[in-house]
Amino acid sequence: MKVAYVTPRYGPEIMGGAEGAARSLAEHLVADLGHEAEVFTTCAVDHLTWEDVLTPGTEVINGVTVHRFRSAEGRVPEFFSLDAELRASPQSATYEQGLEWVKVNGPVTPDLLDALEHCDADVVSFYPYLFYMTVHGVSRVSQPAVLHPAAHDEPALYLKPYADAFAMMDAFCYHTRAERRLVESVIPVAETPQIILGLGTNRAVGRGRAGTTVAGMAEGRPYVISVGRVDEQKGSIMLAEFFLEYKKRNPGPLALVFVGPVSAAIPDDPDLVVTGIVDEEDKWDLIGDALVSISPSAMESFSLVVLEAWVKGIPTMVNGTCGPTVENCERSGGGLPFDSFATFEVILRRLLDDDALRAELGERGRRYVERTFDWPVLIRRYERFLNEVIERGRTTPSAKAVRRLAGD
Amino acid sequence: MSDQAISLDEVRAEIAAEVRTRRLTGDFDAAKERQLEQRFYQYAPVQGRTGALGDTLRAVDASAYVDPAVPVLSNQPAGAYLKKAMRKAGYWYIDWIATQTTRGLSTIARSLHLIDDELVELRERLDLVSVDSVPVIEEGIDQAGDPWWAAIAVGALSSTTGRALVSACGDGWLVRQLNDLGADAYGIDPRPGKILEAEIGGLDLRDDDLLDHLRSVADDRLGAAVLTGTTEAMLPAQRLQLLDRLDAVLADGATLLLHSIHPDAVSGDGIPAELDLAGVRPMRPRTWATLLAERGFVTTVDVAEAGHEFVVVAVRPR
Repeated sequence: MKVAYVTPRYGPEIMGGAEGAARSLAEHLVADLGHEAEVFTTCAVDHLTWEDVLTPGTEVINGVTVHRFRSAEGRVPEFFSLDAELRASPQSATYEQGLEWVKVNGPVTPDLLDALEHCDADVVSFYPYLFYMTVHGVSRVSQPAVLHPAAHDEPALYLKPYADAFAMMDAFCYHTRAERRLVESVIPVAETPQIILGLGTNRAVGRGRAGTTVAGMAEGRPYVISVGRVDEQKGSIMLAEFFLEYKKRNPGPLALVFVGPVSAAIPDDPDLVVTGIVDEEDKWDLIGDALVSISPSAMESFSLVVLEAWVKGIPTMVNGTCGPTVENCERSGGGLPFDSFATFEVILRRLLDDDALRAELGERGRRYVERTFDWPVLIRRYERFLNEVIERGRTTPSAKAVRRLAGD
Repeated sequence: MSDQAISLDEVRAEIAAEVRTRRLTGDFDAAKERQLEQRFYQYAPVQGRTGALGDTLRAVDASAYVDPAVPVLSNQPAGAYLKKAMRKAGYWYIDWIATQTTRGLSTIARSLHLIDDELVELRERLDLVSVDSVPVIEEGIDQAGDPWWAAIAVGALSSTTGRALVSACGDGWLVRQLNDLGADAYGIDPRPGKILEAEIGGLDLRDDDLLDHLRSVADDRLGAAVLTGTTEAMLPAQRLQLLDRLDAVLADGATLLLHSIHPDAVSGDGIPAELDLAGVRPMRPRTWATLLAERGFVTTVDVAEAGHEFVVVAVRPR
C-alpha cells in the first residue's frame, strides 16, 4: 500500500499537533508495517506566516518521501480584517468570501496541487481540513481521499467551501467522538465511512533522573505539570493564575512546572517553573515524577500530552470546555475536568490529598492508553481502515463522482 | 486496586457538592473568582450551540463589570509612578464611563438571564411530552443465533448500491454479515457499550441516536437502511420525523427494512419496560406499509410465525 499525505508543514522541526500526527502515522506505516508513504507539503516552518524556509524538492525523512513546494502566497495582511469580519457569523458568509478566507489564510500552493494530481499513491490523506491544499486538493486527486479533519469548534468550520470539501471526501479519520459529533453537526457527512483513531502514544523513555533535577528544583519538592506549548491561547496564563491563587489559599511547597516551547509571559514566581523545550527523555522523567498532569487548553482536537501522562500512570486534570480531552477522561476514568477556579481548587486538593485516588485514576488511564492508543494496536487499525477505503474505491464510485453525477 | 474500590461518579458528586458548599459559605472571593472565570472563558470554544447557555451566561456576568482602576504596573522604573499619576488625574472621568458601561452591560446580562429562565421553563414543560433519545427494544431477538428476519435482510440488501445503515446494530452482527456479502454497511447504536469491541475491531459502528444521525446524513446518499428495535418506543411525532428523514436520505432504488414487535404482542406483562415508560405502542405493519407507500415506496410485509414480530421491506423505485 502506498499512502500520500497532504499537509501544510512537515518535518521533525514542526511542533504542530496535526502535522506531527501526520508524520507519526506516515513513519509508523513505513517502519512498522512496511508500507510506502509520501508527503506533499510546503517549505514553511512558521504557521503564522507560511514563509518558505526549507529547501524545495524531494528528500527522505525516516523512510518517508517528502516533496516540498514553494507557496505562491503565505498568510497575507488582509487575512486579519476578513477574519474579523467573518468571525461573528461565519454561516452568513458567502461562498466567495469563504474561498477568499481560505486563500488569505494561506499557504496558497498551486505547484503542490499540480504535483498531487500526478501522484501514484493508492489513497490520499489530507491532514488537517483548514488549509488551501485540502479545500482545493480533494477535487484534484483520482484516488480515494481520506480527511483527518483535526477540527475545532472554530468559525472557519462553518464557512461554505469547507462543506464542499468535506462532502468530496471518501472517508474520515477522527481523533475523538467529540470531533466527529462536531463535524457532523455542522456538515451532513454522517454516512461517509469513518474511524475514530486518535493518536498513538510512544513508550516512555526516561533517563531515570528525578523530575525535580530535570526542572532544576530542590530535591523532593512536589509538583504538578503542564506539558505542551506555553501559550495564552492554550490556557497557560489562565493555569498560571489559577495555580497562584491556589497557592495563596493553600500554602506549601507545591510547584507547577510548564514544559514546552514558550510563547507566553508566565508570571515570575518561585512556584512556577518553566523548562522550555526539553528532549524526549527529560520530558518522560518530568512527567513520571509529577503528582498530577494538567491540560488547561480548551482548543484541543486530541491532546497527546494527556495520554502521555497516563502512560506513566499520572492522573490528569483537563479544561472542562474541551470536548476531546473531557471525552478521553470520561472513557478512561483517568482524569477530572475543571470548569472554574472553584472546581480547579477542589479537584487539585482532592487529588493531592488522596494517594489512593491518584493511583487509581493513573492506573485507569494507563490501561486505557495501552488498549486503544499503543502504536502497534493503533497502526494495525489504521492499516485495516485504509485498506477498506482503497477496496471500496475499487468497487464503488468515489464521493466526488457521486457529487458530480448528482450535479452538486 | 480494583475499579470497585473507588467510584468516579461518587468522586465527581463529592467534588460538585464541595464546590457548591464553598460558594454558599462565601469561601471564595467572588470578585477574584469572577476575574479568574473571565480568564477561563477567554479562549473557551463557542458555547451555547450545544446548550451550554449557563456557562456562557457566567462568562457574560464575569465580563459585565468594567474596572475603572487601570493597572499601573510597568517594566520601566518611572512608568508605574507616571501611570499612577495619570490614573489619579483621570479617575473621575474613567469611573463615570466605567459605571455607565457596567450598568448597560449588567442590564443586557440581566435580560439574557430572563431569557434563560424562560428557556429553562419551556424545556421543563417539553420534557413532559418528549424524550431525548429513543430506547432500543430488544424483545423477541433470539440472542443464541441470527433472528428469523436476518435472511430476509441479507436477501433484500446484499445487492444494494451505496451505503447501508443498520440502526440499533448492537455488536455489529448484521453489519458484518452484509459486508461479508459485498455490501457497504455501517451501524449505529445509542448504547456505546454494545459497539465498543466491534468498533475497536474495525467495523464502522458509531454510538448515535437514529434521528440525530439521519439529520447529519446528506440527502439521497443511503442505498439501504435496516431499522430494528428502533421504532417501537418512538413517539408519533418522532415516527413521522423518521419517515421524512428516510424519505430524504434514501436514494432512488434504495431499500428500507423495518423490523418491529407486533403491537398485538405487547399486551399484559409482555410489554417491555421501555415501551411502558414511553407510553406508546408499536405501529402495525399495515400502517407502516401505508405511510411508506404514500412516500412512493413499494412495500412487502413478512410476519413471524408466532405473530409477535414483523418485517416491512420497502423499495424506492428508480
